[in-house]
Amino acid sequence: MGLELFQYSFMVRGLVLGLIAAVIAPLIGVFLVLKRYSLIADTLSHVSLAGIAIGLLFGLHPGLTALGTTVVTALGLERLRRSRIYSESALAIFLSGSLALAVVIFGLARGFNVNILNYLFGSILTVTTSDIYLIGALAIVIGVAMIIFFKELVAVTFDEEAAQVVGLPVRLINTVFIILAALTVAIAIPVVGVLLIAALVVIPAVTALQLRRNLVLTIIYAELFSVLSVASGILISFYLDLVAGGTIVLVMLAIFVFVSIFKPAIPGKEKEAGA
Amino acid sequence: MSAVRQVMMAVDHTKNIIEVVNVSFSYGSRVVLENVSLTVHQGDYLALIGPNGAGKTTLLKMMLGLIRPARGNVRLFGQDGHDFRDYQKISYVPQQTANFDSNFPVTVYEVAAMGRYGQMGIGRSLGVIDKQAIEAALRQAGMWEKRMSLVGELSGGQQQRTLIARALSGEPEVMFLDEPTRGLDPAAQEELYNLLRRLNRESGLTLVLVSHDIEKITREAMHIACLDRHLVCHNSPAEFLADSELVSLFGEKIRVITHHHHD
Repeated sequence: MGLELFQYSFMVRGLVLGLIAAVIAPLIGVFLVLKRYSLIADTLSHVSLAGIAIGLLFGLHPGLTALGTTVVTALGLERLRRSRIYSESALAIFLSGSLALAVVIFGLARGFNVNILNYLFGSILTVTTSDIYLIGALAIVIGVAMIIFFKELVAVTFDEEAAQVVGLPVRLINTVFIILAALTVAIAIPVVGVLLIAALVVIPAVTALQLRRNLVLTIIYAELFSVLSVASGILISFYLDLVAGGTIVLVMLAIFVFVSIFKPAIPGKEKEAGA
Repeated sequence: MSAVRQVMMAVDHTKNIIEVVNVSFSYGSRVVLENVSLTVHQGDYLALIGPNGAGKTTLLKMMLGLIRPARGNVRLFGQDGHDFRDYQKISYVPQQTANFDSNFPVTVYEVAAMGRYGQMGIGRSLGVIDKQAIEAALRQAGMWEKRMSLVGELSGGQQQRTLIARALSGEPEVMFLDEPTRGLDPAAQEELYNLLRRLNRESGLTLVLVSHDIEKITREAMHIACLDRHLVCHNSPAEFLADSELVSLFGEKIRVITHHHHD
């Protein structure tokens, strides 16, 4: 077998796209988990499905309408959170509301000449070169913004009130972050599909956090787990003829379980739990 | 060496740096503060005491500009609280239990560095002056040796001193603390009070703190403000203790409430 998969250009494009998403997702994911925003990733991914449906309905680029609706919703969620009427149930309403909208639109237009399953479960094999350019550009925007705002984001995530007293523009930083989270969701749609985006973003972060290292190391571990899962998930799915998105997430879960069981044996300082 | 060295030069006890004028505040229909006026002078060590729900934390957050008073106003260094932008002059040590995620993957050093982020500018990394201030703050708080530890590995007292180092690294003139000794064992409490006393007496740092520990705080603070929605007293500890009615009122109330807490 060997390198035969590289003879297929669609496979190469799929791998490239997968790796871009694999690098970006944990960068956002670690902060989402620490901010206890995990459910927001899930909510935004369902909102993106409504965005896709709207795009297909009006004959627009579904990727771009998904991006637009996700960003707008993200800003709305951040505003809700700030006004303190935000709650888990508000997220649940957004999540199920946008799913309902998507289902109705998809039902209306049975004639959409697309496979809805591609959006639900990922479609790494149908990625075009222009998709890669668009997603690559988004990834660069996210990466650069994360580098610029990194220390501020750490301080705001750790202690929002203290960050405000220090004079940091807390509102701006939270807004930038939630937009980046929305962009990340949009990037991840073709890789694992709408239903599994939260897994792609959250699982490597949670796995790395179990190792109890400082933030930079935690992000590096999360990146390692993510890239490893996406690359091996795509390869496994290719050779065993499985769905790539689901395979990637199953590999992530396997790593999560492995780390949970063996973390005391992983070299480094022993940590006593809690304080 | 001292992170607050510039203040040492001239502590002017007649200069008011915080002026709270007739402020009121309520959460929904529950009034927590009513017509409270209070001044804090440079070099002061003011303790806000009072039963739970007496508005202590609310008043503290109002002085910090985190909450805007419904009526009245707060002036910091002569500026209206809401327009105040001189952030490096003030610092905040929040209530640990409320704001602290002990699983957060940061080191003591990284937390202490956060105190300087506001002055550094977005996208900038720590410069030589920042690093000196962080080291001085960590040494003052007695946390330099532990700087590479994750905050989750520390005792409660060490976590609290890490938050104090974060507050000190910005080289502030005033530090606001919300129940800094809460949940600490007696030895750690003693250590914390010693640290605060040194910062106040030797470095001239102005302290405003919320406390439940009336016995201890009357020995430490310069002024006591008793709060029960209204400002009931604002005295020196000696005057406060001499007023048996006040002591029985606040002492009793507080002791009962503190007791409930530990049950």
